Amino acid sequence: MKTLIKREIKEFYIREPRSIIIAFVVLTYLFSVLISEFSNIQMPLMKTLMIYILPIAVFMLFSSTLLGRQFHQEIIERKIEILLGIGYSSSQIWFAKTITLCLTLYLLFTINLVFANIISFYMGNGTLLMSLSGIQIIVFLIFAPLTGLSIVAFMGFLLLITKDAAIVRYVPIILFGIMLFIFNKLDGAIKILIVGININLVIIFSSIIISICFIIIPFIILKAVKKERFII
Amino acid sequence: MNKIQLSRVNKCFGDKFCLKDINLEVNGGEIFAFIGANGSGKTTTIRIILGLMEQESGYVNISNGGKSFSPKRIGLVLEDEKPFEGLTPLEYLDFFTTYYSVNTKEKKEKIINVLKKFSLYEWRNKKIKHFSKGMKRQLTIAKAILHEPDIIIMDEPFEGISPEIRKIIKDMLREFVNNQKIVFLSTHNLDEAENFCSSFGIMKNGKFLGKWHTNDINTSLEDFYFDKTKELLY
Repeated sequence: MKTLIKREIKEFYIREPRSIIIAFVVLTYLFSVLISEFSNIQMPLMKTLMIYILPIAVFMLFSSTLLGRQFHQEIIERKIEILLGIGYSSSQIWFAKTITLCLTLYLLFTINLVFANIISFYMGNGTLLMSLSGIQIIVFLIFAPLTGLSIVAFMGFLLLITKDAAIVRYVPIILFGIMLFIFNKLDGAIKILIVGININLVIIFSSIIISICFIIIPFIILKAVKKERFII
Repeated sequence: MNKIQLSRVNKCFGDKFCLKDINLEVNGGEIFAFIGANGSGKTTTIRIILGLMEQESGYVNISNGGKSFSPKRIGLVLEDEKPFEGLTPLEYLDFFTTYYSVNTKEKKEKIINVLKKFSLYEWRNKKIKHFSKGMKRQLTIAKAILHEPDIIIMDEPFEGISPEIRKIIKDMLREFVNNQKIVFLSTHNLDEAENFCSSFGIMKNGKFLGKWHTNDINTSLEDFYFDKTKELLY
């Protein structure tokens, strides 16, 4: 497994850093703009929802290219087949690819955040972390990324299973559609929740459930699926 | 002794194509050519041997003197296989030798030796994606033989490889089977099968027509092949 992870890091990130550099520049700009916008949001509920959705959106946006290279292209070029042929299991391959992709995305996210906060501080816009409460910071740095990365892991799994690159385009649209629908329907309920329960705790609890589902389901299915499913 | 044995193996893909009752045995010391037209079932059979596909009935047995076999003891070259193009040859071969648990002390020496033999040493630190098709093919073959497996399975291995390197690879493979190891290669090239291999088997429309030793046939392999496959047509 260590050998496989090492290969993924070398081949997709160290030797081919172009997409990472582009993502870094775009993300720094995006964060710098958003930090000043965040300080203007007065509604705590809106702020909490924004800090939850923002990392998820960022991870899904930047994962599409990397998912295409690391999963889809490897199936097309029969590299998955050679890895299966020498004895790796499909769940090992998925895990190695997912862990390197998620670590890279999270590193990119945190480094950019620090970078954007410094820029914003020197430009007199304050910092994002200063405008958030302790629990909001925890949601922003841990639980929102956890949800985002588990969705990315699930998309990688879908790419492996379906061999269809279009899945990377459809899944974010479907997920955001579902989220909008839920927020719309739960508008009244959320207002009750603000009074009764802490919304941050609801988010933490639901992100743990989502992450466990999106990581456990691929493992179970990949263990059951025959190797020929991954061969073109 | 190393052995590949397929007995009454069947595999269907809907109504389109079926492998029907494949019975085949290849023993240690053989360079076996698996010949047949495109779509005759060679690659499917190879995938079944490797465990990449499951047969619907029958059994596949790969053994090493009665002991069960590990996939790590097989060297593998797939048809149109591309090496990991973002890596350098050194990194690419290091990945496989590490996976195959080649002794760390011997590893570097082995990699350098094979790169020198294949005239790729000068290119050792260049990214594989800049290599020609033939050079990439050489690397995929190098990775299959580097860990000195007991069985080498190759699907159309020599396509795009220059005659000089082809000769070097063939000599290495001849030396390899002297230790009761098996080279199992699928090919379209009948001349290559006749001159290089010690035995061959013919596939036609998912049926295995039989296995023969190249020394036992009186005509050229080309004539033999067309006679055998014609029999099936009429």
